[in-house]
Amino acid sequence: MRKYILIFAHILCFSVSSFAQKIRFAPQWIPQAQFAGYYVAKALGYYEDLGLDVEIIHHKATVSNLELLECGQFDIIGVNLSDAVMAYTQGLDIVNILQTSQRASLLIIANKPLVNGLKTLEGAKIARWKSGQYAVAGSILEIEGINATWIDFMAGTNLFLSGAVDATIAMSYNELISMRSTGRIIEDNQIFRFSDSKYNIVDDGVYVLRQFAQNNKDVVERFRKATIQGWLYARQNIDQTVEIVMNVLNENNLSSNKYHQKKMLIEILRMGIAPNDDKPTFELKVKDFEIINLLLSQKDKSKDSIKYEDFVF
Amino acid sequence: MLIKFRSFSTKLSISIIAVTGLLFLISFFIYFSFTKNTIETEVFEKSRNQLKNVTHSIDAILASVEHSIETSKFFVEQNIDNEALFKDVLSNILTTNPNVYGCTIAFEPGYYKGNNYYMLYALRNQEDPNQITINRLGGKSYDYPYMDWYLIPMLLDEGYWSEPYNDDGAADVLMSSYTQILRDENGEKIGVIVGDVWLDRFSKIVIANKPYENSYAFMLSRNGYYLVHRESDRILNETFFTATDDMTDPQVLKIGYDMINLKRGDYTFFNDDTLAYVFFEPIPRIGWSVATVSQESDVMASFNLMNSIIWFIVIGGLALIFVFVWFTIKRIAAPLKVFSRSASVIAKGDFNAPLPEIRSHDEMLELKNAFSGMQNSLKNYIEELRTTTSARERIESELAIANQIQMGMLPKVFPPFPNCSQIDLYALLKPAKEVGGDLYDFFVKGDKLFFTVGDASGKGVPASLLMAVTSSLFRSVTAHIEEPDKILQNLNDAIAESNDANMFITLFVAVLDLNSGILNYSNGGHNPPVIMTTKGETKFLSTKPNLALGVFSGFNFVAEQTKLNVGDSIFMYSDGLTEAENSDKELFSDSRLIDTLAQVQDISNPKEVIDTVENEVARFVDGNEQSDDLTMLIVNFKKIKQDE
Repeated sequence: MRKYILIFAHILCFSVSSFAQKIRFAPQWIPQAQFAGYYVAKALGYYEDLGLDVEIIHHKATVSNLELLECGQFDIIGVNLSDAVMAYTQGLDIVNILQTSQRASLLIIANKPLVNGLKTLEGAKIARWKSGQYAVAGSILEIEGINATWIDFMAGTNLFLSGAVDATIAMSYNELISMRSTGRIIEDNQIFRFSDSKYNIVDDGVYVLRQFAQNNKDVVERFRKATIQGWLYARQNIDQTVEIVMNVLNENNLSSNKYHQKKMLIEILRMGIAPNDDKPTFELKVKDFEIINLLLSQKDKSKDSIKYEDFVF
Repeated sequence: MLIKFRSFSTKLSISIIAVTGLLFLISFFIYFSFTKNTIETEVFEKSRNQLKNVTHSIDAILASVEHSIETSKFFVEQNIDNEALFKDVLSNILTTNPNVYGCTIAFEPGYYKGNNYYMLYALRNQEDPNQITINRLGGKSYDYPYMDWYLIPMLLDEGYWSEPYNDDGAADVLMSSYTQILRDENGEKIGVIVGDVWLDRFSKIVIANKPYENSYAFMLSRNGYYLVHRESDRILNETFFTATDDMTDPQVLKIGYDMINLKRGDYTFFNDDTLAYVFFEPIPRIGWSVATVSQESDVMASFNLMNSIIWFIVIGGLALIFVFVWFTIKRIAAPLKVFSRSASVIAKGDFNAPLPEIRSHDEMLELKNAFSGMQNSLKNYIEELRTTTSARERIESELAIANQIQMGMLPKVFPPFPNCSQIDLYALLKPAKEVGGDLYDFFVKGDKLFFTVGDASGKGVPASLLMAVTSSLFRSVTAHIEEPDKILQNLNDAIAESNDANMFITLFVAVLDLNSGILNYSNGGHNPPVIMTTKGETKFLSTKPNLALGVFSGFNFVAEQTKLNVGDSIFMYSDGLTEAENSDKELFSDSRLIDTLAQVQDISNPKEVIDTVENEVARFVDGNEQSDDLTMLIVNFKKIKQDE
């Protein structure tokens, strides 16, 4: 009897695998611990268990995955809220199906103490990513009435560390860790944390085209469920998760080190819980959405504000 | 506590080994410190020199690249409109400088002939270094104006060595680029000219720097990234600080900071519980730092081997010395055991105990001779002791007999005259030795009581003989003479006549008239008696001392007289009483005698008086040895004969 049950189970698995829904998921950046929850969900078979055949595609950093979503190259993407809202306002009809970040990881790191907060950056040369991600930082400084020269660059920390700029945009889970890993002393008073200001614009969320969401409600829900399971597992099993991340890096022939990825994972998990919560909710909070909405409407008063109900699926 | 027996040879051997071992330790410590310092100095010097050679080699390569680019920059600027010349310039750089792996001329977007991107890239073929390909690059997929090698020098407005990077859009190797800014005639920045060096070239130089078998070298970029390391997956992947995050030795962090701050240095640190030396030397031109790490066990291998050999020799040598010393001392000291046994046998009385045979002429032979001498001396001494003891026993026996004879000469029955109620009398003589020189005597003849107390000069047998002679003479003289002075005169003449030994005797002689209480007396140099009256008076009897008997023949002794009232007593004694000494050398003295006698309640009881004095003297001397004969005689005049 037991033998028959095993054979039946194998047939069932084969069937599920054969008819699993193919999903092309594109995080917004190259492989790293920032996307650990997705890697865990895939590696531990959470997607497969729910009938999804998820392919995690890391596209070139020089091209925005929002553009590739629009062209239909990806089904689901990961992107930060500000870039998603900007794209939305520019006509890309996307919806938020999951929110993994509950805090702003965006920083401005200066080469001297920010004794007067952001005002210290008046007239400074500030580096920012050419890809346009986190362009919202520029908007914030503009709103604050600070005149800075923006220097676009590709990636990394060399530009700032070389002394060619006075300050740089950075992420708390990546560049800050990298800079400190070089032996350079970056004091806390050199860092402006958006999460500690009124501009706490939360980061990563998962987005799909509205049409896709409407046509594949069940797929969206299964993807959402498996991804949450992946993130929750990562939170409980940090060392194992780091190993999974390192495997992904190796598969993609990318160089990094375990130290950096572990620190990144810990910071990403810290950002996954809202300041007043004790556990991750994986939902975009209305007040967090309103901050970015308000910010964009202040920048361009001609545009109508976006409705939360329209933006979140 | 049980004290463990340890043989003489073991103790001495241990002492010798301890001192020798201590001397070795001190010598070894001095040798160790000196040699280690010398070796370390040499190692440091060697490693530093090797490192300097490495950094000089790398610096020379970098300098040559800088030179090629700077020379070409001038040429390009001078011929900026001659596009065809650019390829020649790039080819020339690669042809003339084998250190340059690739080179670039790139312009600001829109500057050159309206092109958004204008970049010419010349690359040396990896397989065939003489083969050069030149390509046009630039575009959305290779957006060079935002790349470090372009952007940073443009912002810094100076020549710049980029952090090493993998340019997967161009050479696709790990390299570092030197950028110089191209300017137009107005000095405006119009683009860059760049020379690339392949890191592989430096890796070979750095890795080859291996002063010791297990040494390894590494090179850090200015941002602390590994550029060269024996673990290739660390290159541009780990910084010194991430790779050493789990290392506990705080020195490690200092090494990292010193290296990225382009300091020159040498440290020792613990790498996986192994002591290691690290030497590092900066290359300031590009901000890199090269280090070599050598295991202490490698560096000090020959020194440690030598130390091990020394320790082996020393420990083996000490063991040999111990065994040799132990056996030697044991052999030398072996007779001592025989001596010890012999001493035990001798102690039990056998003076013929065998002694060891000593062939050596040393202290042991002297000891044997001394031991043998001691055996003979002891034998003789014991023999003499036996003889002496036997003689002494005989003398003691004779003295005991003499004592009995001497005591037999003295009246010892008290009361002596039970039928004579006029007087009561008691006497005591305690010789200091077996026989003494004191005497007392008394007898009643008619109505008169004759009595005397004397003290012969010296002690022992001579004094006792003089006492015996005097005592006999006293009896014979008093048989026909009743005047005390005459008695003394006769006795004096008799003793002096045959006194070859120049001895003398003090003597107090008195004759008491029992009918009247008249006491006639004469004193031959003796202590004055004490008169004790019923009125409670206690005083010395006034006497003329005259001379002791036996000194001058024919001396006329003075006769004196006093009267005893009924109840009075006369107390006579020898100087053994008043000169009795206690342990503080104090004498009993005349005054204590008077005080003692004055305290006697009932002077009519002669025995009680003498017992009182005897007890008081005993209390005074408090066990101190009696040094002189002690004699006391008391006569109590109870009543006049006529009253009966």
